[in-house]
Parts: sequence; C-alpha cells; structure tokens
Amino acid sequence: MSSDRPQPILEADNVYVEYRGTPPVKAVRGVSLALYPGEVVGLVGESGCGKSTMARVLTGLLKPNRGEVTYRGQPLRPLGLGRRPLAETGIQMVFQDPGSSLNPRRRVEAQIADGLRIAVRRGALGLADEGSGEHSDEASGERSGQRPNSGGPSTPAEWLVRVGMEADDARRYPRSFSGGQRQRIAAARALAARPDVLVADEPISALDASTQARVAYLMTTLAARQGTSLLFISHDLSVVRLIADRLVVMYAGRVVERGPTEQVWNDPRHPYTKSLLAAIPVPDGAGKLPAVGPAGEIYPDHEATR
Amino acid sequence: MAPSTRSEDGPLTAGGDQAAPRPGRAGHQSAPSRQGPQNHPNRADGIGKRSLTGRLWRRLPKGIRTPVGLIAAVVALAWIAMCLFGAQVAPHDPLAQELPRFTPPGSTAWLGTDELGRDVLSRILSGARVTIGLALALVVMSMVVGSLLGLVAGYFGRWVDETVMRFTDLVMAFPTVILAMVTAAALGASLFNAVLAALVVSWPQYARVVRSMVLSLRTSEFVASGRLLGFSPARSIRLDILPNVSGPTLVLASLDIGTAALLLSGLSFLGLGAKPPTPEWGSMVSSAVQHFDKWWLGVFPGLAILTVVISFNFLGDALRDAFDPEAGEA
Ligand SMILES: Nc1ncnc2c1ncn2[C@@H]1O[C@H](COP(=O)(O)OP(=O)(O)O)[C@@H](O)[C@H]1O
Ligand SMILES: [Mg+2]
Repeated sequence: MSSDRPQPILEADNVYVEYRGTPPVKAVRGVSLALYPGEVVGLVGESGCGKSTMARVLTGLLKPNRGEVTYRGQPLRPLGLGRRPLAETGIQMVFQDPGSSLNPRRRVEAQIADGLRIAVRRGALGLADEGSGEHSDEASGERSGQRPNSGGPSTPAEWLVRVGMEADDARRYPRSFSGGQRQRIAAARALAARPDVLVADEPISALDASTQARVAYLMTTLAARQGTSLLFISHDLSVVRLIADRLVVMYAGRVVERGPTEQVWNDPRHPYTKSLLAAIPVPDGAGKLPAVGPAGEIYPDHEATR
Repeated sequence: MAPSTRSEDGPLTAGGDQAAPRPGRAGHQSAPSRQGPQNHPNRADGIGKRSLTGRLWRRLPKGIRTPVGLIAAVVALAWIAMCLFGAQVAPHDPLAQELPRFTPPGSTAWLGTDELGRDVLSRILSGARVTIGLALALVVMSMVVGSLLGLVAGYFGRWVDETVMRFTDLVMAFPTVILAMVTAAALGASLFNAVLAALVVSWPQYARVVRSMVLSLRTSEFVASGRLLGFSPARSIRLDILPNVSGPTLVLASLDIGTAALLLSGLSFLGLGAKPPTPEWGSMVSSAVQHFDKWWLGVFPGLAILTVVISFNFLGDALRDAFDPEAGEA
C-alpha cells in the first residue's frame, strides 16, 4: 500500500457496463481496479454483482460503455472480429464452467499447444530452435529434461505433469476428464501462454469442496512461479482469502471494499463485507454456520452479525 | 498426427470393453453374449466368435440395435449397394424393349413388364443410381451451401447475419414443393435442373440449424479462450466451430436423404425431371398412371421410393444416437 509501488500491469478506470434489454441491466457501475506485477488479487462478491462482466472487460472480451482498461500503459482494444493483437495475448483467462472451457473435439495436447504457440510467438518463451516443441508430435513422450528453455514446461505433456496430471493424458479428449482435471488443463493452456495477467473467473466454483482448494493453490503457485499476476474471482471468501494478497469486494456493480487480505478479513468496514464474512463457517471455536445454505449462496444483504 | 500409443484410444476396443452388460439388448442377437467378465484384454486374438458378435452388436449405434432399426439399416445399405451395382445386378437391360408388354409379375419378369416391354425390376434396380445417387448429390450440395451461409451468418453476425437470414426466410416462406416446381419449370425440364430446383428449396434448413449452433458456440468459453490465445477468425472457425457443428449437420443431412429422393422423384413424376427413357422411379410411377389397371407398374417403383425414405430416416436416427453425447463412446 506504499507509494513506491511499480506501475500497475493492468488497470481498469471507472468502468461502466450496461447490458441492453428491457429493462437494461447496469452490471458494473464505475469500477476501478489495478493489478500489479506478480500479485494475487481476490475479487469477491455474490452472484450477479458484476464479477464476470468485469473479468470480460479486463480481458478485452467486452467493450465497456464507459471507462477504459490499460494494459502495460497502453489502452486495451476490446476484441472485435479480427485477430487479437499479439501483445495483448499477455492477458489470459480461465472460465467458470469446466464443461465448456475446453473444446470437446480437440485433443488436450492440441489445446495446450495453442498456449505454447502464442508464448513463442510473443517471445515470452525462450524456445530457441525447438520448433517441434509446440507441435503435438512428441507430446506423449516421457523424454523431458534436456530442453533448452527458460525454465518451465515447453510441451503439452510437460504442462500436464506440471498441473498434476499424466503426460499420457495429452492424447485424450476433454470428455474423459473430471471437472477438476479440466480446470487444471484450462489453467495449463492459459499459463502456457506465459501471460502477465491471468484472470480466473470462478475457476473452482463448479468443483466439489475437496478439489476447490487444491486447484486454487495450484493456480496460485504456478502463476507465482512464472511471475503472472492473478485476478482470482469467486463468490466464496473462504478459499480466496487463503491465496489472495489483496481483496476487492464487489456489491451490486460497485466496489464496496478493498485492501490487504488480512485487513479485510480481520477488520471489514462495509456491512456487506461483514455479512459475507459472517456467512463463512468457521471451523475454530466460534462455530458460526452459514445462515442459508453453504457459504456463498444467497443470503440476506447487510446482515451485520459481527 | 502421431500414432496413438494407447490401445484404449481406439473407439473400437473402447466400445466393446466399456459397455456395461446389457441383458435386455443382448437378447436381440442370435448368439448369446458371453456371460464372463467384461474386462478381458484388448487384443482380439483370444476372443471367440460369439463374443466377437456380441462386441460388434454393442458397437452398433443404439438406434439400429432394435429389430426394426436393423432391418432399416440393412435396407438402406442394400439401396446404396444398388446405387453402385444395380445396373450389373439387373436381369435385363433397363431400356431394352425385349419382353412381352404388360406381363404381370411372374416367372418371366418378377415384377412384370411395362407398356414397352421393359423389365420393371431391372428399371428399378438401375434407377437406384439415378434417384438415390442424385438425392445424395443434392443433400451434399444443400449441406455445403446452407452450412457455409449459416456459418458465416452466425459467426460474423450483424449485417451479414441479417442479409443471409432474410434471404433464408424468403425462401422458407414458400411451400417447398411448389417453389421447387416453379423453379424447375422455369429452368426447363431435365434431371440436372430438377436437382438445381431442389437445391434452391433445401439449403435454408441447413443455414438455419448451423447458424443457431454457431450462435451458441460463439459465446462459449472455449471459443473465447481461443480468441484470447490469438486465433484468427479463420482458425477459430476451423478448430473451434466447424468440428462442433459437423456432427449434428451430418445427422440432419442423413435424415434428409429420403426427403430429397422423394422431392426429386416427385419432380420427375410431374414431368419436371427425368426424361422418358431414363429409369427414374418418379417418372416410372408417372407413366404408370396412364395404365391404372396394371398395378405393378406403379406399386413397385412406389415401394422403392417408400423404402428409401423410411430406411434412410432410420439410418439418420441411428447416426443421431451415435453423435449423442449420452451414448458413451469413451
Ligand atoms: N449477456 C448478458 N446480457 C444481459 N444481462 C447480463 C448478461 N451477462 C450478465 N448479465 C447480468 O449482469 C449482471 C452481472 O452479471 P455477472 O457479471 O455475470 O455477475 P457475476 O459474475 O458476479 O455473477 C447480472 O444481473 C446478470 O444477470
Ligand atoms: Mg460470474
């Protein structure tokens, strides 16, 4: 929080998004958000508060009605019909639904290779003359090790191992994997592009409780290892607070609170944040249980019970 | 592509090994399936004939794993075979006027002879190539034209979509058969023009279906991921869109073969397609109308059309099941 911080790598300035319709939906109303190199920011808030909309604006998938996104000091051009500018492939995204985050008709190796290819093209992966590396030819081979690269996986098979799967899985199709495995693959593909920024839009929400924390940790660790800033979106504070350096809390299209994780966790200011915290079951001592359903589900607003 | 090193990757072995035992379905086959454990090794050499039959049966798409479905599939395949070899199998030259005229079905000519002494059976068998062959060609052309337009409309949206879909609506606003008739009449009676006329009325359904699939795919997460990874529109369409619309489109096409055969023979029946000596089923029915008391002239070509329509519909259903994600082909 000191003033000698480096420049943000990705920054949204006073973004407004309104979806057309009757009546129009004001999904995001004046959100500013900065992401600094190498940090993990948790963006939390209940369903429908505008988190996904914000994620799509930050990656350029959606053009905001007002406000601007700046990436490495340059305005981000929202993705039109043409090809995305090469430099902007430094922003990648992992989506919520494991069922549709991978193309069902392509082998896993081909999809991870897309990430590797763009990293090489952008010059973010020192693959020297390893031309065949990003092609799928030897993806199933176990002969790793002697690769002249800048550290880190340089084939789809190596990426699979890195995310805790088998090298042999490269030749399979997405349908043969569980939701957690698919999210690992999706993370591998996005991270293989060596992005500066990874926006993860509720990547663990569709997974069962035992897998959630593991996938979240995995993504955080891998992002940290290659210096990728991570914007981790969730409606559930309990996991996010374990991995995030900072928290940003959204409510009804606005940011209601932000600060270092510890501070927000221990000393929430806004009543909405308090209610969000109150809804988390605390395993130690106090024995608080969610008022309605599992943590993060619908529950009354502004219910300041702390 | 590197060859697969894992035998489980092949759908052939996977289908056989992973299908759960199905006592109900297994009862349809002549040889009872082996009651032993299902997890035998993948190699085929240690497996007896009975089990192989069982495995083949289970590999069949669900839709034809019923007696009726199987018969339909066999009939459809037989017609495709006649399409290729009908002229060779036929006992007589379909054009030769060498038998007594109006011979009823019997030992001279199994399905009788027509007003010019031509063998009806030979004309039906030789005509398979004309009717079914042209129906297949028509379906392929409609699929290609319609899918391309639907793809472009769905992917690029906006005015491209508006233009293509207005045009599609325009064509679909007319009753199919009447529009085809008018077009064929305007072009002049010939088989080629009949196919063109049929094409005019049959591409829009493909455009519609493909467009709606593309519309939902375009907003799907993996397509967005591809775009974020720097895919050009061409690459996005080729890798992310096309492979995901091709299955359902092929199913639609296979369901359309019977209809196409009916439409083409209908145009010929009306004198807008095949010219007289050509052994086309529709025109055979048409000339039979003048000899109403010689029932075999109309009934047999009519039955040929009917069996084609029905059997290809069943085949299309079977294909649809095969592409059904629920039908677990690992
Ligand atoms: N494509 C869309 N068209 C219209 N309304 C939308 C669309 N996407 C989201 N919304 C609405 O915008 C609001 C914010 O949605 P979203 O950003 O997905 O929230 P979150 O990700 O926090 O659940 C919701 O009320 C939602 O219904
Ligand atoms: Mg969301």
